[in-house]
Amino acid sequence: MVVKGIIKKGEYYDSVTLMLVARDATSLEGVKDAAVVMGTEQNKSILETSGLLLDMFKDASDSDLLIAVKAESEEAANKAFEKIEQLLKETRSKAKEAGEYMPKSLEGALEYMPDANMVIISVAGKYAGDEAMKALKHGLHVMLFSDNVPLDKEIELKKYARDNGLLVMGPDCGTAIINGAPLCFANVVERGNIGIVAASGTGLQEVSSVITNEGAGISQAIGTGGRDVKKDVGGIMFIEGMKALEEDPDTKYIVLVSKPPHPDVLKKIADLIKSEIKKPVVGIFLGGDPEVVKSAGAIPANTLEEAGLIAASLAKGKSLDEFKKILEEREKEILAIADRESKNKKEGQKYVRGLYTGGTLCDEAMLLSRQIIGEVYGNAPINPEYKLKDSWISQENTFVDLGEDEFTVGRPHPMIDFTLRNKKIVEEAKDPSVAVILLDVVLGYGSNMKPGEELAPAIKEAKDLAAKDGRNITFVASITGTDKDPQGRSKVKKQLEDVGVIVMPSNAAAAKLSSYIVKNLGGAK
Amino acid sequence: MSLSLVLKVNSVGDQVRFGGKHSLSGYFKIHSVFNNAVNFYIKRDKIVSLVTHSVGGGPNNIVINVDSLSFVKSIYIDKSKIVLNDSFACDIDSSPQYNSNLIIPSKNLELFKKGLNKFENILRKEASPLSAVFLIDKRRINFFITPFEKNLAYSLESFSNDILNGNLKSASKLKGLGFGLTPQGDDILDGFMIALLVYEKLTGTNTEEIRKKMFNLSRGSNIISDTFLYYASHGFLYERVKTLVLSLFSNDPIIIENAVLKLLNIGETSGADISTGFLLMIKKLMQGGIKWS
Amino acid sequence: MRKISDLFKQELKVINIGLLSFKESLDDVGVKVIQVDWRPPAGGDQEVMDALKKLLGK
Repeated sequence: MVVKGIIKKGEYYDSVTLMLVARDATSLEGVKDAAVVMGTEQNKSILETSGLLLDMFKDASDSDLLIAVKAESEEAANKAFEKIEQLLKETRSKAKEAGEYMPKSLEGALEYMPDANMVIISVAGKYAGDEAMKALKHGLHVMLFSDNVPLDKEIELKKYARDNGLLVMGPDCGTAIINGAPLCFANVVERGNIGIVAASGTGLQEVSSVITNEGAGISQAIGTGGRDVKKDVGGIMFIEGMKALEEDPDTKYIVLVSKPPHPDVLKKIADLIKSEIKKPVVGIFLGGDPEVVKSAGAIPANTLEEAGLIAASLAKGKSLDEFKKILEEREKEILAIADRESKNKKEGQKYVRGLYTGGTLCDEAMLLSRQIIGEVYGNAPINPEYKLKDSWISQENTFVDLGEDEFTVGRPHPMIDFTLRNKKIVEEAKDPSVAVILLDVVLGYGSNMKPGEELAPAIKEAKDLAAKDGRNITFVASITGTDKDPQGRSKVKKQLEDVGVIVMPSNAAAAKLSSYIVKNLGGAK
Repeated sequence: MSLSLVLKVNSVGDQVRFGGKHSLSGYFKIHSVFNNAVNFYIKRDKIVSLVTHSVGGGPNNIVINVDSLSFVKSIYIDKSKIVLNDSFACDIDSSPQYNSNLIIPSKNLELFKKGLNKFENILRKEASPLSAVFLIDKRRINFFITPFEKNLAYSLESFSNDILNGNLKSASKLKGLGFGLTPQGDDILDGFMIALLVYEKLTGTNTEEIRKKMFNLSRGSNIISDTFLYYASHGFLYERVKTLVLSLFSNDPIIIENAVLKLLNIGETSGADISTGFLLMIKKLMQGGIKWS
Repeated sequence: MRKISDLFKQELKVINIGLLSFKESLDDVGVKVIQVDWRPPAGGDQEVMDALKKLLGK
């Protein structure tokens, strides 16, 4: 073990910068600990406790910046220093770059870019509504990422937008793809002739990714925010979005993605399909009755994957029967893998633990799993009787959505920050009744940029831990994303497979595989 | 000297003194430059800060009506005006004064406690994960990951508790603990002193001696930190802190929320760390006080 | 009258109010975007103080 250090004089950074820089350095291979702190006596005493105090630091003063690294080798320590220097430098240059022209208001921005046509708003909810209304009054379309926008404000905005031929995506709309551009948390998808209207962000991501991975493409993907299809808003933007796709000559097929809309809204959607929509419509209303979709005049899909596959098949000129064959093949494959994975388990290993970062994906997985293995526990279960007493402690078959408020207090969303899930992965592996750990990995802008690198060590640790006890845990994952995403789907897939993860083509397939394994092992209710 | 531009000065802190018989003039040494603030020495151990309007007033702040101060390279002072980079003049003589004294609007403890609860709830929800708020919300300890961070969190906790249990001497151990220009430990101490001041105003219990002892124990060579601790110990508050304290008597959740969020905007964790110190100390005092040793 | 579908025929030009990373990812894919240096509206502290004064009957 080597401990090395550097002293820098007259450089000031804020505390979070320093903590994150040190943390990034600690995550490098062979680095055990790192600290970047001002040289106060008190910090020195913590450096000492941590085994990081070097003689050279003893005379450093309060205003000197101390950098200390503990690593397995000289080489690893040097790498850590390089990384720290580079990160600190980036922080400095970023601060300088901020000098580029930034108007103080929407009006200022319009002077600079008078032909702007879209405003993305992600400021605090109580201000976001007013900013959105201002944008609409200037004739601009709006994507409202912010949540906590009051309901009456949402209705006011959407009515105004409808009357003036404008889009209001959101509030709480995490993703959209307009004219090929991924907005906020979206995947980089192929352009094509399939249009999507979605009241669920990750749902939209999963469907658009499946379509791209199948070799078809997206014309437009419009997000509406989850509240749009509830009774109060009455589906205003869902309906307007469908109309816009019907009018769009580049859209040939329309996919609808949502949790079950309020019956009033559903009726409006059905009426619209019957009266105005000439293009084929595929519908996935997660947790709803497919017959309802059918009666509304749309082709029903059972899963997000199916919705994507049907649309892609149509776009590629295949018939629905051909599509059904593909699905049957996939089902057989899943059963075969499940049989294989059920054989290498120790007595008592029989449950699945789903650790999710995407809320809609977690819902979908629970809906599919309960059909195969009965009710499952969770922090937001389908059946309220199966709500975990303590969301941090899993029991039997459990699916947790780590994006829920109780887990995200004060920290970035788990799609960005993997710390919490990595911890849970290792914890679940300690439970001798666990046979399968199921994960979603969501790529795209806004998400974690190195999911493979960050997940792999935790999975490896979990596997090793179980192996010491003679257990083999099956890791199943789905990757929502494409090869055009900055993270690259194939690359992430390979990184996960290298540590023994079974990567399935969709969340639905991953959830089914996990459930079949559990069923084989007798873990069903 | 040709002056091309005049910048508006929104306020000058009541503790800023250049003028009088020993009026200072000449170029002043800059300590540090940030986007929102430029700190410079007016004596070897005294700092005055030029700040943007978003930072707001303070006992030693000169608030300039600009959005950024990162351009500042030199500061020249000539009795009635400050000249930046030899070209931007700021008239400080006729600008309004910021009053850093705290006068509380009510001594209604129930109203105040209600305000404190609201304050705490917002803090738990909104504060940066790397702040000292883990001292209030234990779940947040999970945010500290590396061995060094864990040791740091442990020390912050044990020295803070020492002080809350009356062991004043631990102020010298808390001071300087943590990352950044104003380490977390310093900000917690700042919060402690502000709480002592507010408690004095609420109950009439004199806390001046404790505050001053605390300051003397925590003095070091970090001039920025020492400056703001000095003002807190003497009962001179920065605008954001003062606004927050006053908001606690408002009985209006929106006013409190706005004030807390503004305070949390100071530095990456400073606002949250000050808030943590304030809440820990005021609660302890109101639960029956502290026997100092 | 303006229609939503007209947007699909235009070049997308975005004004971003809020998280800088949304601007950066659009820069990355070559979409024209301008960032607004947004602050909570009017007054801020002063607004709070005024409201306080009113509440406290001063």
